[in-house]
Amino acid sequence: MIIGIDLGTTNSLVAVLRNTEAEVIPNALGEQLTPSVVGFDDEGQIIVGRIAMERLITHPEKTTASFKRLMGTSRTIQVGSKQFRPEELSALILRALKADAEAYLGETVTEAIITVPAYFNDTQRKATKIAGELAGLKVERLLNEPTAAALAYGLHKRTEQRYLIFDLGGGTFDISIVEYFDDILEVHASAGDNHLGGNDFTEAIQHWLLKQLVATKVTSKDAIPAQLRERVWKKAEEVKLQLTKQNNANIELVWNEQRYPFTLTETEFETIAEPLLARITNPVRMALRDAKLRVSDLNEIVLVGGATRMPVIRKLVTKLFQRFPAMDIDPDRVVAVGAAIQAALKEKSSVLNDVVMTDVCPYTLGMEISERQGTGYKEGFYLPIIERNSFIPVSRIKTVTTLQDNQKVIEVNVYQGESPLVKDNVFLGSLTVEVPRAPAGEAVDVRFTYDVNGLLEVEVVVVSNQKKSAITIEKNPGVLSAEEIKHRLQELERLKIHPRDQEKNKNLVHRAQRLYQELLGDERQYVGQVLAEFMSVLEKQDEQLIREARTQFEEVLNRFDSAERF
Amino acid sequence: MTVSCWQILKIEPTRDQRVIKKAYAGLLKQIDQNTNALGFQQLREAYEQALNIAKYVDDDDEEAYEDVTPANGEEIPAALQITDTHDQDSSQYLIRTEPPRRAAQDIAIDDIFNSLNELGENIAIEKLKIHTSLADFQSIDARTDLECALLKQFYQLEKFPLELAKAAALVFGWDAEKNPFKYDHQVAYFYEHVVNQIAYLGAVRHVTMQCFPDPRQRDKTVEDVIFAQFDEQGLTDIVANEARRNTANRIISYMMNEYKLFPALPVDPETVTWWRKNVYGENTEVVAPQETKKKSGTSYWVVWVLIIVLFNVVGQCSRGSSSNTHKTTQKNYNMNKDGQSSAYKDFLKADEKSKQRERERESPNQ
Repeated sequence: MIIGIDLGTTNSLVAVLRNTEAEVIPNALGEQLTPSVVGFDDEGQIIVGRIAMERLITHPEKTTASFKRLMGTSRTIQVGSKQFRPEELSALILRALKADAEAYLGETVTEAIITVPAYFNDTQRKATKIAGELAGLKVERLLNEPTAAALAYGLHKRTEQRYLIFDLGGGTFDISIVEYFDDILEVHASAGDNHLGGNDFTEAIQHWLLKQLVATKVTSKDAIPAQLRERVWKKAEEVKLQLTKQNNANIELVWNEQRYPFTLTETEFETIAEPLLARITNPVRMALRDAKLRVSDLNEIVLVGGATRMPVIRKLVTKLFQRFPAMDIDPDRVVAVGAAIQAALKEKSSVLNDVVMTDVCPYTLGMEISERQGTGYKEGFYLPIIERNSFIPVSRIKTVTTLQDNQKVIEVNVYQGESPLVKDNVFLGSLTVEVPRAPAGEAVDVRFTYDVNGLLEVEVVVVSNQKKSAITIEKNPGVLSAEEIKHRLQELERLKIHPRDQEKNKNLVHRAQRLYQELLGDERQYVGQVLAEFMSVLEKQDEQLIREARTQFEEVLNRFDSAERF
Repeated sequence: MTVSCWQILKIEPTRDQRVIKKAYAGLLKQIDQNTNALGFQQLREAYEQALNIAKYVDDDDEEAYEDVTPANGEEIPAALQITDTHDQDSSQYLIRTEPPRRAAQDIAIDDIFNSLNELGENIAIEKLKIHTSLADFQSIDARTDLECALLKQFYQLEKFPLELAKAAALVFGWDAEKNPFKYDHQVAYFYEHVVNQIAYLGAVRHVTMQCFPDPRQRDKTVEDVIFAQFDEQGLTDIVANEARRNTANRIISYMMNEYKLFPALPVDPETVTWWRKNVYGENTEVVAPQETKKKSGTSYWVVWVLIIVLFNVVGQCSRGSSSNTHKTTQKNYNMNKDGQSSAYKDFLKADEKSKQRERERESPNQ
């Protein structure tokens, strides 16, 4: 069975297409959204999801989130006493999702389609594949998130039309323009911003709150404790959530036994969010231009991603497109559903026998060249070979020549990006080709082939002797080598994973611990008391008793926990 | 002869997009995109070509349409059908989706450029800001229409209003490195022209400011100052020849017109005579330069050389030297092509400074 996974910045989901319906698989807690959070519990066991998220506030040093943003970099993240690479943390999430799927489906899962932001570069895609590998999943195909949404949406409607997918997730922003006709789903253009998402809006609120706290001398600007930061973050989330429902957000922060109330109006929030909102328009315009379409050519604007729930975003979308967006499918689940559909397509499931999808390569791929400058040459210029938003698979050829007499080799440095200077683009790899001794002007053909799985192959042919050399771009600084993967895999095997069957209890305990820190006075005492009671029930290890106590305990916690899950 | 798109699509030439799409869809389903990259690419290109012919080629272009039978009870093209269904649905939206009013951007453009002519650049800039913040121009389509109309207008102007263009560049995010109109060749051309003009004129002003941070306190002639600046920038290859002299003169004339600086400087009378004769085409005695308000009809090559030099000064170009003027020009021209973007950025930075200096200069106590 192939499963579809939406590996998100904030939440991850797993879905599968059975019979004709795509279903999102619930996790051990019975929830469809698994927060993309990883941490260690007090016994040194790895915890994943909601249970880890509860500890973000109480144990910020032992828990980590939003690591998708670091995918494709060689940065490591300190969790407890251990260093992790973003691939490894993602692998831990994937592993949990795989376990959930296996428990739900009653069969082993070996392969997955994982979604990535359309604007993820080659390195980030490779890192995602490696994360799958580390989690014991075969990942042959990565699917662009807006494409996944388009699949879910297009196959849901099945009418001839063009639409724009507006995908603002936790950490990334993607735009795709899609056309559906005759069972063909064509992505015309993708554009986006890899570093813009719901988290940035939370961060903006967090900054605003911290600024207020600094202004009122609650904390000093230079030494804000990590715990306060995390707590303010959580409150910022709460503010964001409240503002999706009402015009004012009222929250209360507890710090050092003091209560600090805050109010943020929608208008104030708009001002805070202004710089972020300004970054939305350009990718939209770029995608429209690349697709050679006007907004009036579009039938529908489809919102995807939890952050599109924010009224500021809906307002902006309505202003830009002069119409209200479609909200037929739950923006949180649509990407996972699309991934499940793609998985079924890959298995050639009979449900979708006739549907064919085409996609584009959202960025330009090219090589470094030198340009003539009077008597000399200056290196560092970019020669685009595959232009952005070309339909894939695509294969393009350009001819370059040697610069000097008797030049021995030509170095083909492969880059990705839109800048005319290679230093502003992303380096992907390089290939050195020997050329026969000849006067300057000896020609070589450079062919770039980009396939549906996002792999780039570079082939160089020396024109005079037809000698070929080729590379598949694989090794680059942000990506692990095969040995490293093997090593990391062994390391991960050694980690103790918290048993999933106790998750519900553990989760409640963590929640109670967080509430205990957040509340004051009688309320705090009360929470401490029920927590102690629940802990003593847990020790008795009687399933029946535990289940009853758990229900009561959860009710109590719900009463205090105004912050609903986003 | 190469295979035509119709042969690849296995249909007769047609302008019916529906037929083209159907043929494409049928063939696409037979191709495995994983293994047959070239087959896919060929089909895709044929499809795009066929759609383009269907959309853009004139009715009387016999060659493309040899087999097209005259439209009898003509079918509605697929694209229009889509729009139709959409209009039926549009009652579900609270805001009706109408095509942007054709005239809206034209009215705005007229207003901005009338203000420029009659009330001055500052008012025109204010008008630009007002119009672009109007609700009419918040939607992407309407804003793009306005942007295109504005670019066209800038392109057609005889005297380029630098400040207004800079204000527009800020509003629309024009960036020398990214021409967003690459699929619309005419607009793409306007765009490049306008962005380059901003860079060129901005750079001229930048160099002027570099040369004369406070001209009143200098005891050299204008040319000396400019030449010193050339040398300082490593432009030693511009020896005392026509090119060097003309560049200096262009800067002097620019300064005079834009900043009224010239009279304050001690000027070598010979230079001025030469300048008047060659640049202004006059053959009179030296008159106080501020009386000559009319702008010189600078010849094309003078502007060229100026631009070349400016980019040497502003862009961080290499300082190789050569005694041959022709070669130098060639070299600088190449640099110019690539130096534009950095020049553009630099000038934006430098512009704030020069404005400040300008203010200081205008202060009464000097």
